[in-house]
Amino acid sequence: MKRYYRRDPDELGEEGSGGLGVPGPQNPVPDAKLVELKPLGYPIREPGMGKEVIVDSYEAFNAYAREQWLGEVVKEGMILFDTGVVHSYAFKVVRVVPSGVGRITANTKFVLRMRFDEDRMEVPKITLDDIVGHEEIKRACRLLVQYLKNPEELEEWAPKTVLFYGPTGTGKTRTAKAVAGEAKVPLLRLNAAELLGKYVGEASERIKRAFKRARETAPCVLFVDEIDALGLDRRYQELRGDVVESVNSLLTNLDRLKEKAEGVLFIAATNHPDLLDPALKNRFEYELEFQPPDRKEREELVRYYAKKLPLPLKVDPAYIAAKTAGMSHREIKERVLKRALLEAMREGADAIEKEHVRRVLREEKRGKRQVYHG
Amino acid sequence: MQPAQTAYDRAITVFSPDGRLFQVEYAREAVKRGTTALGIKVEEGVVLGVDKRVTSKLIEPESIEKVYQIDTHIGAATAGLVADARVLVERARVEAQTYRYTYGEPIDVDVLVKSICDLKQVYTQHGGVRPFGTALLIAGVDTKGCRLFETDPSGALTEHKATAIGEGRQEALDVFEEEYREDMSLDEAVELAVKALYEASREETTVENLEIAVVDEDGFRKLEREKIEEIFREVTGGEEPEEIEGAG
Repeated sequence: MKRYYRRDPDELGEEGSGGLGVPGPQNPVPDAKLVELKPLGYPIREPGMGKEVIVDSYEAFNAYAREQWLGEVVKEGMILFDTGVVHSYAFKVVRVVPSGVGRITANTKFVLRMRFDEDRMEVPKITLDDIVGHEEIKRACRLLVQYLKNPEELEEWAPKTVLFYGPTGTGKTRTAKAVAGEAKVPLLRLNAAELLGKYVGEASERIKRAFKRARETAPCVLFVDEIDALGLDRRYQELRGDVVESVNSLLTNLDRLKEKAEGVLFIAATNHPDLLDPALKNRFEYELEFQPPDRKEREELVRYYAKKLPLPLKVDPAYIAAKTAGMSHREIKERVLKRALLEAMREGADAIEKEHVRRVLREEKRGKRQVYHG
Repeated sequence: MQPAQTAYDRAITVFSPDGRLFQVEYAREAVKRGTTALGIKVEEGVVLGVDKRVTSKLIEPESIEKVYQIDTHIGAATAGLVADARVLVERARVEAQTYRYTYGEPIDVDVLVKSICDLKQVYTQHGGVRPFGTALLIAGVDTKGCRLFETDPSGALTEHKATAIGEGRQEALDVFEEEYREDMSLDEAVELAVKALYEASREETTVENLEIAVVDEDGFRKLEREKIEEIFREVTGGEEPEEIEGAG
């Protein structure tokens, strides 16, 4: 079997592995627990050869990949070529958990980031420390992280179905990512509106596939965003003919999950908890409310982002916190900080000054006032 | 969802399946678009302050009314639909005088507020009309002391020590949370009102836009322009010093 690897000897040399597949004496290469692959396609092909790959069973793919590449040392950023079914098809190694470099063993799990699915799977890089504020929620999430790290131990007592609810832009998606990131497990991200599909009835099929995929990738987090698109109260059946089927499919799969979770943590997020079907709401063992930040949290948030801004922030975070009452986390980042940064850069300034922030806040329209308002 | 929902239904206030009155909630949104009005109660009296936000130099600022006298001992500040506010204030004035005529004494503030709220409630329950898109702050001094009430489009009323309605409500409330004290003097309360209005406008408003009124045991009166200018200068002149945060 011929093997092709993109050699970057300097990089690999630094890690002390001394070369491909040969561990250096001082720094033995750690085992790779999890390898995230992204299918790239063929490096070169005749027109007519398919670019897309389909996976019938992720379990089978895992065994296949392991067999092919057993013993190899992989590093984030390198390309692996298939030598089996789709010979010379390229996969990019996107992540290697835990250390960025690892040797593939009989226990390595492969996660395939499919391009053409309605789902997205990745192992997030952020952890709970990257979440500003939300102290109570973070505390609750630590139990979830424990469960993901030790599914068998905590199976009976950890909540496996969680609902995040609250206004838009308050960190629900981010927290789900952080939970997966902290536990270093994949996050399988579904958008409920995408699940609905074009055809009536498509949703139940997709839901079933998603849960199956989650079980095959466990331990993992199955995250459904905007679940109110899918789990509508069944009295809204008239709106879309298949609301009942979709909801029932969700309920069935959630029940199965609660009985035998096998390391899957189901998190759903919504802006409209009151629109959800009550039976669906009952299936959630935890409901966590996300609120817009209060003054203290806003200040913390500005401090957190200030460290990441490309220009220094020469404005007292307390000032910004005072002037942004009622804004969500996302609004503060995107409508205030990002715009202030833009203002500063437009002027060619070398720091973000109070005037930039003031200008941006002034522009923040509070809803157009009509002549008859006063 | 109601069966056979037609466009005509929208004008009527009916319950939603989960017990909400959407027209009333939408009316509250209209209030949020009104400019800020606030009230502060202290031992000596009650302060009402508004930010008129006159948008053009060609408008006569005096013609924009947001603070009204209801009776010798009661005043009101409004936010929301201007015309609705005017109608409600008229009604309040008539109520106050009718009471005087009937009972020979000034009306108690809470009695007046409740009668206005009863009127608002009627407009949420009868056919073909919409709720009032205005919130009122009613301040007065009666036999029970100094009172400050807030009414909303649904006809609900709440009594406050300090409150705000309209656009800058949240910013004003933040200021009150930090600086309001029950034992403030009337003058201190006036200063606080000006400061809160300034913050509520995100430091954009000018002194010509502000109007302040007080009600104390001597009755209702509007503050003179010079006095407001003086306080405004004090409040905005000594701005917080710039703090440099070396980040990024």
